[in-house]
Amino acid sequence: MKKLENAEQKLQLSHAARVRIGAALEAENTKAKLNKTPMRWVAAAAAVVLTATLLTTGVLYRPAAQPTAESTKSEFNSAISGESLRLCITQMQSSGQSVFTELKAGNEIFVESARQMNGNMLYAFEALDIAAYDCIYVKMRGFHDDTAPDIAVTNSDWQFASSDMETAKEFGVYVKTQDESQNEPQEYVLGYACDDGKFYVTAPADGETVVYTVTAENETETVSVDLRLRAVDGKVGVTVENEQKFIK
Amino acid sequence: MQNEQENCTPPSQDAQEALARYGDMLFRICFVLLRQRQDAEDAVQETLLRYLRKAPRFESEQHEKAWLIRVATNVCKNTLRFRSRHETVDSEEFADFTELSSDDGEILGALCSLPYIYRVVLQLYYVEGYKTAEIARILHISLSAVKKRLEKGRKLLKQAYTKEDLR
Repeated sequence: MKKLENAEQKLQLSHAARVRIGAALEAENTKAKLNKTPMRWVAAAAAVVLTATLLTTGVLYRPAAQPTAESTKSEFNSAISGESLRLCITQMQSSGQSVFTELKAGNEIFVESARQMNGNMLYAFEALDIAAYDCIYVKMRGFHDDTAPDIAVTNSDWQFASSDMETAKEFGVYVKTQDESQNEPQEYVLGYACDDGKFYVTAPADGETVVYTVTAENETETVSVDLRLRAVDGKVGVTVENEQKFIK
Repeated sequence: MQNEQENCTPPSQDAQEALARYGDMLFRICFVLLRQRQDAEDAVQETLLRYLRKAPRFESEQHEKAWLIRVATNVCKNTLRFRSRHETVDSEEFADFTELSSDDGEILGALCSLPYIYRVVLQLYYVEGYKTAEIARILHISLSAVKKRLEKGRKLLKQAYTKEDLR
């Protein structure tokens, strides 16, 4: 393998690339410095507006109400039972408002809007009743080619934390993979202490179907549900099915 | 390669210093994974921009290096995922080693022809000099998976590389 090592040592960043990258880093650095002060004020103002909005819409308290197919989040939070794992898909409207659509077993919903990140189209989901659980896992089934799963975790600030595992560790998430030597199908698990229950998944390519298993656990039980995404004719149909519950 | 002196070396002061220290290493890794010079340069840039934005604290140079490698492999995976979902010209057409001698180009071409999972462990083990336990930590896979991929990767590389002497 010495030949390989010797050959690779000749692979180097060109001078032009170094200059370009250096300039990009400098520009980013300058942008960060210029934005620092104003962003504090913007962030403070946004926090005041958000708090007022949450109080007004009832998100910060939980009124008793039955969740409907399309509703604001406050109505979903009314029935925290921990008896099932309810998922909703969140979509952003052009007004900037989030719409939450609860997914019912066997009822396929075709979703409209996706969020683009790193060249991928991502769909945002949220596990409801999350306060009843200690942690949540999102796992892609039947996955064989060993690239990272198209699943991203979030922190409680709705920031896209990325599939960078070092970043994931900062937010208390972890990755567990099955041992290849056991010749079992690859399964990738992302889990995190449930602060907000939000996760993103990538849509499948047109004509394909992907199934994720979303599992939530607490001290006494484990509950899971399959989340199926079916890409057809440029749209993505989302269904939940196969809910299972295990008492520990 | 993993000696005590390196373990005591402090991490970089900033992203520009990281570019100077690790630019070539990151480029090698990204080039082998992406098999295309321009994408590899973009991946190096994206890796260092993430370094700049996240400003992580490192205990040592080794910690910093492992972090950068991890981020670079994730950036490369995102690029490969994007390619698989969008029509692009076959990246193998762009695996360009014209700047190298024919021998060097041949062995690099053989490495680049392997599936991703073998390329990355062979790269980290034989070129960057990481031990199997360190590779397992960097890539977040089991130690046995690293060993199996090295074993299989060596065989595939030997098949792909027509000449007998690889050592």
